[in-house]
Amino acid sequence: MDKLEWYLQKWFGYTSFKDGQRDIMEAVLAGKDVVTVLPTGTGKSLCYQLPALVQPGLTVVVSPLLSLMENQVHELKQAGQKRVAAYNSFLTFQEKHYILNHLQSLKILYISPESLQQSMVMKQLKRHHISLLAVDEAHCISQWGHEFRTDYMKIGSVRKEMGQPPCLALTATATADVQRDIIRRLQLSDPAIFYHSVDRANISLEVIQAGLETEKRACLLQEVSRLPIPGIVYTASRRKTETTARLIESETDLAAAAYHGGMSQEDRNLIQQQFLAGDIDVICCTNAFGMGINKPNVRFVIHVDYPKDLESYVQEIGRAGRDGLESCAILLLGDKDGVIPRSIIEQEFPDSRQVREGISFISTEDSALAAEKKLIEIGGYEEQHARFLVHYWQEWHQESGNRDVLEAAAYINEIVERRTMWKLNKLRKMEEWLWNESMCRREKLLHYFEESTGERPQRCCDVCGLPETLPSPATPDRKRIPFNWEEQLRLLFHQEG
Amino acid sequence: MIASFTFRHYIFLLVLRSLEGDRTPSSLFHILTGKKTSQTIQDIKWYRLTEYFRMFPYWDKETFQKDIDMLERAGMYREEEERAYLTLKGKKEIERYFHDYKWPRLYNGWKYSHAAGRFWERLALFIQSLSFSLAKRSFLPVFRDFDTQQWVKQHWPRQLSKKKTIAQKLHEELVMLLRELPEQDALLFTCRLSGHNHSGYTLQQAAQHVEQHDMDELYYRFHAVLHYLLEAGSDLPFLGTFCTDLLSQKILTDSARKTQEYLAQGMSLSDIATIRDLKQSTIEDHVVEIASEEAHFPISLYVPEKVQQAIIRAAQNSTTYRLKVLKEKLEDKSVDYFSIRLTLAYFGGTDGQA
Repeated sequence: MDKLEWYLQKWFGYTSFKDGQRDIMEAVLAGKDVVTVLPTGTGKSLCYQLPALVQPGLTVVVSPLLSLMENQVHELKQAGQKRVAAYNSFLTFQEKHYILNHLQSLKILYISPESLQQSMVMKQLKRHHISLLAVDEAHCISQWGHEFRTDYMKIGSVRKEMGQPPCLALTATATADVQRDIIRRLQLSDPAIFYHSVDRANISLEVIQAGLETEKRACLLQEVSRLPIPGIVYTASRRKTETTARLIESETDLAAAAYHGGMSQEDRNLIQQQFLAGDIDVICCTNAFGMGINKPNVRFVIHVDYPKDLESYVQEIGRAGRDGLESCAILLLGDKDGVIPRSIIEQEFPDSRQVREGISFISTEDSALAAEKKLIEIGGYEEQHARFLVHYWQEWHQESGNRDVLEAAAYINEIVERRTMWKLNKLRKMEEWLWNESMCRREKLLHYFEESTGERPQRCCDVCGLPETLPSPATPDRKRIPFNWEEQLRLLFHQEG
Repeated sequence: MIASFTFRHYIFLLVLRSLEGDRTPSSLFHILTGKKTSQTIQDIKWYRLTEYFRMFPYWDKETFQKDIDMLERAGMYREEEERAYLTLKGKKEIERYFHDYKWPRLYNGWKYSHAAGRFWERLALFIQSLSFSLAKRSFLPVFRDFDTQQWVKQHWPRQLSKKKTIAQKLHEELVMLLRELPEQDALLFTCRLSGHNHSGYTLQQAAQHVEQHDMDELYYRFHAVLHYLLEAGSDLPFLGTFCTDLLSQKILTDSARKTQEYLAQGMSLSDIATIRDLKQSTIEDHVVEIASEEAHFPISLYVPEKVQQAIIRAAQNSTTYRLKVLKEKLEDKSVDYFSIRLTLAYFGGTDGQA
């Protein structure tokens, strides 16, 4: 056992590395810039966590998702690693202060991209030796990615300010042009690139044409009753997660529950806990579910509505079969499904009236933060719209030296149009994949990610033909809370009867 | 039509019965959602409605408007000159609905709703941690916010023997208190707790477990258990540690508290208004709020004793607390609204309420 393995076992309890993890860590520890494209569930986070603990200094991890940060910090703390913290805008002033004043005692600091830009934060970070800057969900930096975030574009300059520490860019899915964008914007020098195929051989791919909504419901019920559990059902709206869960509960013997971003944190934690414990067989959720949740034995992922691009699809179905056992990805395709993803794309950007009004509203504002606040709090703009507007208003203003509202609006509207077209194009690729009936789905998916096909698994896709070899569903062995509250309290507190 | 009315509609009508004709529908909305303004605070004290304060904090303006429209169409409610009235049919409906309703043992929104949420978070997280720790297993915490986690950390028993003692004592205290409650309320409370042998239910899942499907009522009953535990548990050695600091927190709004500090320094109302750059009427609101909370408020500094008595007499002989009506009843026409409000707030708030 060498040093790395010894630490792996000591801190994380694993006895061996997964494919490729070791090479990545060695490159990181050698101080190189690194880009990794690893599907979710392959142990991405370990690639910076372990080096962070081995090396002297502080590792800064940029992560856009609050829940993901919290989960990781929590998992590390549970494993006995207390020198970690998550810094984001949801903390109180005192908590922020506490973290910034205790950086020297930390090994890993998770931080949101917008917090990273605050001068108070940078001032403190500059006082410490940053051994590694890890950028999670790095595809967000690219305008050609499926989740572009303007605040990611500033990470490059932030890195420079930190004294150009080695950088590890991580993403689950990135086409070649996105990879190039990541390298350029993060100013990586001669990076080592690790690319893992998006292909997951143990997940079969199936698209079922379901016609109208009523047929789709019937089809969903049939599938969830047929498949081994547990599983995840993705829908496009919060409301639909609830109606779908109710449908499954009333029409089958399965225990189902809804999960979406509109629920209280307490309820979300409870549902997550129940799903992990096996009390819930089917979780019906929006794409708010899944990030950072590690349940290895998910047997199926069913999409009742299709996502807006193949990148999202691959990420969502990737939550199945992390234990390596056979699992299914099934998408129920209706006749009129195209409307929802189109309206989702449309809502991602401000419309031309919002652009014009928003710009005139903030044109006298010099601070980006103040402008953003003004738009959100007084103008009633959505956060992502406000951020978008402020970013491009500033870009326009800096490049043209001009504060003309109409000209700026024209410039921004053109960007909106271009970005919308780009997204619609990605959506069309998704739809091409869905409606295709002649080419192997796996092969077509890999083509999209510019990969070539390897060996086809036996259970490949509906086009290749799916043999019915799935094990029959096991009867769920569920723990119900007793109806006698005194008995329940006794169990809870470990008291004798 | 009537079938679509739920607990919260009937509670609305019930509260309306106490102040009909005197107040606008939004006054009722503010009471039931728990908006802390001087007006609302006066209302709940004068009309003895402290219990109903903040019963449904999640009620939004839009749904509220829809709800009262529905009640109006059903002939149970009407509005006249922006004031809310209960119809005869509404009165009958309330009597029918609450006729054999088993009220919870205790609910007092004014006194406990500010503490209930945090109290539940501490209790649920502490019990979960203890339960898993004794089973030597790891878990996902039900609450992850900094304050609650810090609190649990500060009160965490390090040694196994200590853990066992606390588990035993806390269990005893809870069983003792919960036995005093209706079976269903105890069940509702316990099924929401998480531990090593099961994950707690969300309120929606609890609805199925206790077979009580009116979510507003369920929310109310659950919080009623918390209020009861806060009241009955605050003197107990173990449960008491979860609540004492929460209960000692002052109920005053921040702004009123600041005014109180200036008053304590002996400043006049107009001085305070100038220094704080606020309207005199705002400062008066604060003083009314303070008077309603402080049994030792020196009211005679502001309203001569004779005037106080005249106001109380006028209020006792009247069916309403509308200021205009009361003012007209007073012989001394120089008595201003502020004196009336202050007197009512002070004496309304000190006879056993809050």
